[in-house]
Amino acid sequence: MRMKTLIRIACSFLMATLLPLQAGAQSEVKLGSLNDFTGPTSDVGKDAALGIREAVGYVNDTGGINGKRIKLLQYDYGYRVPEAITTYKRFRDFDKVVAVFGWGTGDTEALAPTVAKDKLPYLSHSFSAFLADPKKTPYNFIYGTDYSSNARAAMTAWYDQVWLKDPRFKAERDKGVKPRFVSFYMKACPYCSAAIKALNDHAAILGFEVGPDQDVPLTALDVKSQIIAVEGFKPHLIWHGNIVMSVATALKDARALGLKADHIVNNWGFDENLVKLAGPAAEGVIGPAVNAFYGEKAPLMDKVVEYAKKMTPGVPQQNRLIRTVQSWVDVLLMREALVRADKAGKLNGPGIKEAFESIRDWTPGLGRPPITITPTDHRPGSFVRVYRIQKGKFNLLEAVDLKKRWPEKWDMWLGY
Amino acid sequence: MRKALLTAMMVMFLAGWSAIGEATAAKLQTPTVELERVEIQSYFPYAEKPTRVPLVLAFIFRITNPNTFMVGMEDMRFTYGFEAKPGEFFDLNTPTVFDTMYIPGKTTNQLRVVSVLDSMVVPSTLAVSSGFRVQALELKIPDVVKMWWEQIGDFSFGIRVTEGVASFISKEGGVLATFEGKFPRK
Repeated sequence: MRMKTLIRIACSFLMATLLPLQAGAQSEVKLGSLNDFTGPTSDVGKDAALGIREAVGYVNDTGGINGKRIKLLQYDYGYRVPEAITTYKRFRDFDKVVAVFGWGTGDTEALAPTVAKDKLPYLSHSFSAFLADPKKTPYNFIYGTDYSSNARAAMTAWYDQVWLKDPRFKAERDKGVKPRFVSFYMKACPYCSAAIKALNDHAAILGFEVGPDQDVPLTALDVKSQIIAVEGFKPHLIWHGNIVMSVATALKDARALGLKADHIVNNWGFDENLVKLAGPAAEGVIGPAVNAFYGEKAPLMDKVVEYAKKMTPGVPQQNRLIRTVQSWVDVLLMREALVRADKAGKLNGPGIKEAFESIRDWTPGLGRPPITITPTDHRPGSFVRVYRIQKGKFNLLEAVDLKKRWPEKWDMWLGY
Repeated sequence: MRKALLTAMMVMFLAGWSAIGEATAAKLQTPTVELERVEIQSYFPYAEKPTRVPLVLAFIFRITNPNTFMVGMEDMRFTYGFEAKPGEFFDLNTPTVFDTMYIPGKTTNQLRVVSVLDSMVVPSTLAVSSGFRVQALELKIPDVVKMWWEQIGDFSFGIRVTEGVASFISKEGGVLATFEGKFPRK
């Protein structure tokens, strides 16, 4: 009897001394993350990926998911849809993640039917409006205002604050001239073209004349031929749907060729790097931001900066972007849903979906307007802040609340 | 027999106790991560577009635990870039490793990280992340990519590892180790 007791004590002691490092594995919540470190969106993708890892570090240091640590499985897929699908299957079948952080529009839209069938919540950096309609994509969620809303808001802000007020356009306004508008984007890229239908619809609402769209590759280092192609149309406004490098190229070439047009940019083309890369050509450029810029004064920004310095010391602070902050919003929204699902005892696909859909007027800080997600509308809000670059700084031009301005159309724009 | 068993258990008990005492008394020292070498894991000869040619590299790291107790490495990531002109490096990829490994006290583990580059993707990487710098250096992206694929066997250009971070856990808490490196080391 005494012998058995001693053996039990010794075994318990050995278990206690040798296994504590593995104990964490039993209280983990696994999340998959698809990121672009190498592909044609890597100029914004790398910063976003770093931000995800840093934000997860912060979540784990501050209680995790009701005490459970997040185990983040983060993969580069080089913006290649087949690789994203393959990695997703690994997340689902082997890693058994409870939810996924997604990246591009092409892969997220391609995966949407599978995600719905698998009932695996998928929170993406792609803000394609298609992903916000739960009738079509019930397990997809976005943390930023959708591309269509962002484009409508940027166009509205330019119309309100520039076209209607700027003395440059007084003579034309007085004559009743319609503002002329063209779009520059890569036509074969789902992200770049996602807002075109909404933009053309909005141009009609505001009374614009729409000129010929120009096809600009994401990797363009020369956009002169596209600039020359629209010179005859004399656009007042150009919308850029690509990401930073090719937008910077277009802005520089437009300036070099003397094209007198204003520029609005989709949110993934509008960040701190645009100012660096386009230089003086970035002056006056307008675009939406889904949250505060990196280092801007906002609640929780001190933690964003602290964790960037602590977890990624090799990347200089001046190279960090708004993409880091976006990823914090992304991760903190995911945490909110996971905490709610876990508290309800439903840390599974349907439970997490239900938790996302219970979020009302919630914000993590970081300059993110309050987020509301419902079972019938996964757009996280209608309020878009639109900025203008002036002397290298981002100044708020107008905060556009699309639902308030067009209440009769807001519901129709779901998934548009 | 019974006496011998009891003695053995007491020894194990004391050894365990001693290990705990040592660990709790010791302060966690940061493990070191060092790039030992880069290998070509698998080679496919270069071909022009539209042929897609992979370049499979292996980065071998030495991870040394200076502590007297075991530490676990939870994840690790780093960025690597190739030299296009003397002293001009271009970052091409940021691999991340999540496979947990445990390193006993006062020992060194080796870790092989395999990373694949794609001759069709690298040009976009260069264009979107360093396009204006490529132009300023008067480089032509297809020529640079061809040179890298064809000369990698001799390592005639430098490979640089930067922004390296590894996350360690132990009974004494967690710690991050930073690292960078270059291969060949001349």
